[in-house]
This record gives sequence, structure tokens and C-alpha cells, in this order.
Amino acid sequence: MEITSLTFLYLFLPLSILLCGLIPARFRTVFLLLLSGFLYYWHEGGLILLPFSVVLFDYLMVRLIERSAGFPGLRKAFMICAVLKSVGLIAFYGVRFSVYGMAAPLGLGVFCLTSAGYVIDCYHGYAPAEHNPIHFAMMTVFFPKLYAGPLTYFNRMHFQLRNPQMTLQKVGEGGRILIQGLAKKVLLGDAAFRLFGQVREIPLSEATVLVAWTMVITMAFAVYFILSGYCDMAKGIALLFGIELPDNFLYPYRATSINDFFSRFNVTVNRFIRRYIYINLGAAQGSMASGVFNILLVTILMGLWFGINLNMMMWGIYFAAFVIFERYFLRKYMEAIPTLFCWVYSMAVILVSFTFFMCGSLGESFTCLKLLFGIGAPVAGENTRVLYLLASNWLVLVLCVICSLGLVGMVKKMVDRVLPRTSAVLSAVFSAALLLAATAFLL
Amino acid sequence: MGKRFAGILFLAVLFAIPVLLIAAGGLRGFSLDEKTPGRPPLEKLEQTVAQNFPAADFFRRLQVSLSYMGGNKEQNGVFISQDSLMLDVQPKDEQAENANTLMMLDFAEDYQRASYVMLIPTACAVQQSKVPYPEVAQLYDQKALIDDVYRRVSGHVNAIGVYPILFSHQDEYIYYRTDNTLTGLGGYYLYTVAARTLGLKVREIDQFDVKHIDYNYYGDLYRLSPYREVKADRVSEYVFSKFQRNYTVTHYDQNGVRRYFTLYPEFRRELGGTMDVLLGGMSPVMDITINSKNVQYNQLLIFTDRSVQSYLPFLLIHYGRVTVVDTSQVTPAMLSTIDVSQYTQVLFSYMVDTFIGSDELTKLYKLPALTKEDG
Repeated sequence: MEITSLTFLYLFLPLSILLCGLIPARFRTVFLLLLSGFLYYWHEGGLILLPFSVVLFDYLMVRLIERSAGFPGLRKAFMICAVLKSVGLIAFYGVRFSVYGMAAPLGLGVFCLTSAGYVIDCYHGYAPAEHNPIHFAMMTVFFPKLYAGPLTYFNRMHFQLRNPQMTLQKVGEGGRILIQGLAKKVLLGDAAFRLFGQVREIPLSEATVLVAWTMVITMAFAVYFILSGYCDMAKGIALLFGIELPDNFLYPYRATSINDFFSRFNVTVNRFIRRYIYINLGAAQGSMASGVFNILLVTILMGLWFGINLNMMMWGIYFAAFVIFERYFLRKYMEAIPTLFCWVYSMAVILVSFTFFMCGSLGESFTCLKLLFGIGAPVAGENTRVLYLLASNWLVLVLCVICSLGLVGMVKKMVDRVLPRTSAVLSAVFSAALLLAATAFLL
Repeated sequence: MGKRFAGILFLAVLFAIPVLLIAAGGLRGFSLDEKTPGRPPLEKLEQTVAQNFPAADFFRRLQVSLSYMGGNKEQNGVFISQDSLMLDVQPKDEQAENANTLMMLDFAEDYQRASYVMLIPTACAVQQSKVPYPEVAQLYDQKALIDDVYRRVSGHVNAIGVYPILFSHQDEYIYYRTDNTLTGLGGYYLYTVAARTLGLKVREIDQFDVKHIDYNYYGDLYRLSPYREVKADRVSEYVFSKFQRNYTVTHYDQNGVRRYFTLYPEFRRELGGTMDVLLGGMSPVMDITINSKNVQYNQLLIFTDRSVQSYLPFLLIHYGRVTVVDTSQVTPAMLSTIDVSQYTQVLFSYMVDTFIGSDELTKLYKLPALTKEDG
């Protein structure tokens, strides 16, 4: 069941909130776990055994690590088993998708990495072993975050899971964030993706420079608004039940460098990879060669998060080049360059990267890349179709620009400061309007 | 305080919807036990909720209006212009045009009857100024298609070119605003051109009495794109008043036979809708005999689509018998009852979207062949 479906929003969610609100707080975690299991079963059927098998396996590994306190070799072996199991599952389903087009189970990356990360934390002693399997399972397979994240750490979650507190303030805030995420996904993300699909129908052999740039820009908007929409919805839904999840997207298209971009885009995955891989490999300390290698590995993994194929690997390598360039060559000059130029440079690099994101093969990606700069574009190219599509979607594109730059949030903050009471009312009215509009587009 | 208020409001809205949905019996049609082949119950539940959602019509119109405000003036294949809806005609079946054209040529050769073809352009081809973003809209060139078909059948089938007269009257109410067919006035203009080609004396429009049967008609295009600013259509009947005509309209369909003694049985509006008043609606085969003091011997066989409802009331006055075959509905069994030899003229008449949409004319290969005596 999609969290953007009418059934979930207007039948399942109200019923869940009602039941969760009525039962005593100490049983809420159990209830939410049952809810997550039920939703997963309705979405994936028999594959429900997979996440709970992962949870059970890693729970056992954590307990074994705890009991093997005097045996460092054994502790390391248990940790490696858990990590290899998670990585193996992700790789298996990723390759299966690349080769056969069969979709991976819902939330595979999320629950595998969350669980493996916790095992690593227990091994290093950063987190205590969780004895309550319910809390452990909840941390891993809590349903709202299975769609697109965020990835969470045990230290952030375990206090909340013991006694989730549902309050009207949290419901109000959670409802606002949920509606915001729904609107992002349905009104902007889906519309941008539809526009991308329509432009993509133009054969590359007939595509002009305008067509190529329209494709990358619409894909960039679609990816951002769909993923961040899901993450906002996850955060909002979790807050309705009294659980706080971290942000996963922090206006990545406001970045003024590629390093800045990665601190704003898919933040929790970036932090996970840095925490468990980059730092353990020595980060950027040591020689330049080891620093370059580490950066390359991290950015490739960031790319592979979106799909195990050559294109995503190339996406990571492409960004690695710029991260390395900024870190080792450009850093000392960046403060002198005006912010606007830094932003233009970053946006150009980011948008071009989406040629790897949106194409089905490396060959196609390089063709598209050349088209972006007019190389190989047909002499008498036809822009009529794409102009028609742009005219038909001008408002969506304008709103995508405004919302991706966070201008709405800036206006809200200004109004909050100047007219706090009016701001609360306006915010409620705005949320109601967004919910109306999003519902209209779901029907 | 603000967040608490927002929380109360959010919960109120969130609980109101399912209460309204269940109270209105919205989930009555759904059963977990019901198996829909190849579809999980979840999809059926989602469909049930969508269909029975409180104020669903309002939300659908809101969606169309919001999309329109955002610049999207073509939704579900329908152009939304300032005051009307127009179907965006694009070829769906590349072979359809060729198959239909070949069928007409084969028919003319096999049956040796005076054959005519009338391809009718749709609103977006005639009223191009109303098409959104006309400078960049990718319109299918219907005029080129019509010219190409007429060129191919030239010498075998007589062409009736209606594009010029429709284009010259494009500012008049010749197409419905919410339906993909011509109005009675548009049908009259078709008749004036068709009648000349068929060798008939054209009657002036003031020889027909006009009666408006519905001022609030919303057609198929409105169901696809319910844009609220589009006004309802007016449906009219045209009755030849100069001379007496008595009509017997016999419909043959899968339910049997029904007969009317008027071209406009108005009670049909209660049963099937406004368009069913015109000629009693469309059936696979419709046989109309016309009795008048001025004896008419000509007999016309028409293979057509629902556009016939617009111009046939004008053509009928010139014939003693007209048989209309709706090739989208007719079955081989029904075709076997049609004796082409009884007709003096045969007309193939289609809207362009029908002609390029499917090869339904190829059904006519099931018509009984002429015997040596008929030839």
C-alpha cells in the first residue's frame, strides 16, 4: 500500500492514529510494529519474511557480539556476517533488477543498512545491545521510512521507541509535514516526472539542445521532489505517532559546491556511508592518493544506492571528480568567488550529472551529454514539441524552482517573525489548500 | 497553541473523510473475498475509494481547473480552449487508414454501386485558432489525410469535400462544445455539400423547423476533461416543414428490434440521454423508410459513425429509404442481412478520428456478395 494512496491517507492512517491513541503508551511500539508488518504484508505479500529475517539475524548477531566480550576475533566475525548478509542482499536484488528488471522488495536498502549499521555500532561499542527485539525491529522496519528513508541510528531512536508520546502539538506539526511531503510528491514530483517522460519520448537522434536540457532539469526536479516528498511524509507520519525522524533533504539545489550538495542531498545515506566506510578507511587524512580513493569509493556508493548499474557508478565517479577537484585544488579560492558564481557552477555540475541518472545505458548517457553542449545535435532540430510541453507545464516548473530553492520556507520564516499568530493561521489554511489540491490529483 | 490548533484541525479533516465515505456506503461495493483476475484486492479497494470519495466530482473538476491554470490545456487527450473542448486527434493504428481505404476500393469494385466517401474533419482541424498554443501544438494534419484518401479512391469512389465549408463557417456553432461530433447546424453544412455531390437539390435551412430539445447537454469530452468554465451544449432537432414526410425508423441491435415513427422520439431522453433522441440513438443497423406525397425512389446505404445524427435528418428528405450501418457496432450476422443491390447509392461517412482510429470498415468484407442477377 503506497503512503500516497487514498486508501492509506483516508482509511488506514486515521484508523491507525485512533487505535494508537487509545492504547496505553507502553504498548504503542508493539502496535506500530504490527502495523508495519501488516502494511508490508499487504504491499509485498510473502516477502514479509525477508525484513523480519534480517531483523532476527542481526538481533542474534548483536546478542552474540555482546556475549563475546572477551573474544575480539569472534565479535568481528559476527559483525562481518551481519554486514556481508546485508550487503549481499542489496547486491543480489540490485543485480536482479539490472538484469531482469525485477523490483527489489520494499525498503530493502533501508532496513538492511539500518540494521547493519546498528550491528557495527554495537561492535565498536558506540551503542548498547538492544535486548528488546520489538524495539530493535521497530527501529529497522518502521513502515513510513521504508519507501525512501531516512536512515536512522539506534542512539537517535531507542528512547523514542520505548514510550512514543502522541501529543496534539506533534500531530499538528506531523500533519503539516505530511501534507507538505504529499504535495511535493504528487503536485510537483509526479508532474515533473510526467513531463520528463513526455520529453523523453522524443528520439535522441532528433533531440535538440533545448530537449536535452529540459530532460535533465525535469529529471532533477522529479528526483528531488519525489524522494524528498516521501521522506517528508515519513517524517510527518512518524511524528503523528510521536516519533521524530531526521531530515533527509536540505534544499540540495541551494548548494554552492559539490561537497555542499552532498551535505544536503540524501543526507542520512551520505552520513551513513561517511560514518561506516569513509571514516573507517581514514577519511581524507593520510596521503592524497588514499584520500582520493576514499572519496571515489564513497561517491560511487552514493550512486549505487539509487541502483546497482554502470550508470549510477558513473554518476558517483563524475561527482567524485568534482569533490576531489574542490577539496584539493579549488578550496583555497572558493571563498573569494562570489556565492552566485559558486551556485551557478554547482547547479551546472549537478544538472549535467542527471544525464547518467535518466539514461538507460552509458552510451545513451554520453549521447545526451554531448547534446547538452550542442555536439551532435541535428542541424534542423525541431523544438516545437518541447516548447508545447514547456508551455503546458510552465507553472509546475516555476513552482519547482521556487520550492527547490526554499523560497516558500524563507517567506514563512519572515511572516513567523513579524506576525506569529497570523502565520499560524495562514500555515493551517495553506496546508488545507495543499491537501485539497493533492487529493484532487490522487483521484 | 498554533500547533495544537493545527493538530485538532488535521485530525478533524482526517477523520471526517472516512466517516463520510463509510456513511455514504462508499465501501459497499468492495469485498476482500472478491477476486479480480490478475489484480490484488488492494487495487480494487483503491478504485472503490476513488469512485465513492466524498465530493469526488468536485475534486475531479478541481484537478482539471488547477492543471488548466498551470498551463496544461490538453488533458486526457482533450484540448481545453476558452469555451469548448476538442478531441486531440492522433493516429493510433498506422494500418487503419490504409485498410479502410482499401476496403472502400474493394467495395466499389465488387458491388458496382454509385459510391461516395465523406471524411469529416474534427473541431481541432477546422477551428485551429481555438487550439491551445497553436504555434507549437502538434496537430495531426487531417486535411492532408482527407486529400490523400480522396486521391487514392479517385475514379472509383466519389469524394465529398466538406473541409472548405466547415472552415468558412468555423466561427458558427457547428461543433458541440463538449462532444466530439457536429451540431445540427454543422450537419446542415455537410448536407449542402453532400447533396450536390449526390445529385440532389439542396434545401435552404429555413425550410426546416428548429426545436431545441436540451440546453444543458454535456457530452463525452466533458467526461474526459470536466473543465467547469465550458458551457453546456444545446441540442436541436431539425424537421422538414415545407412538405410532409412520414418516417419509420427501425433499429436492429442485440436486444432485438425497436421502431419509431418519428426521427426524434423525445421519450428516449429519459432512457438513454439527449443524443438518443436524435434518430432514436445509434444502433448497429438502422433502417429508415420515408413516405411522402412526392414519391422518392432513391435508396441510400450509409456506412458511418455517430456523426450521421447531425446531417441525416436533412438528407432523408431526398430518399425513399436509407439504411445506416454503424460499423463500430455491427456484427457479421447483421451484415449478412444487408442486400447492397437494393440501394442506388452507397455513402462512406466518418469523422477523421474514427477513420484513422481503427480498421472497422474491414468488417464489410462480411457483406453478402452480389449474385449474378444483382450484378
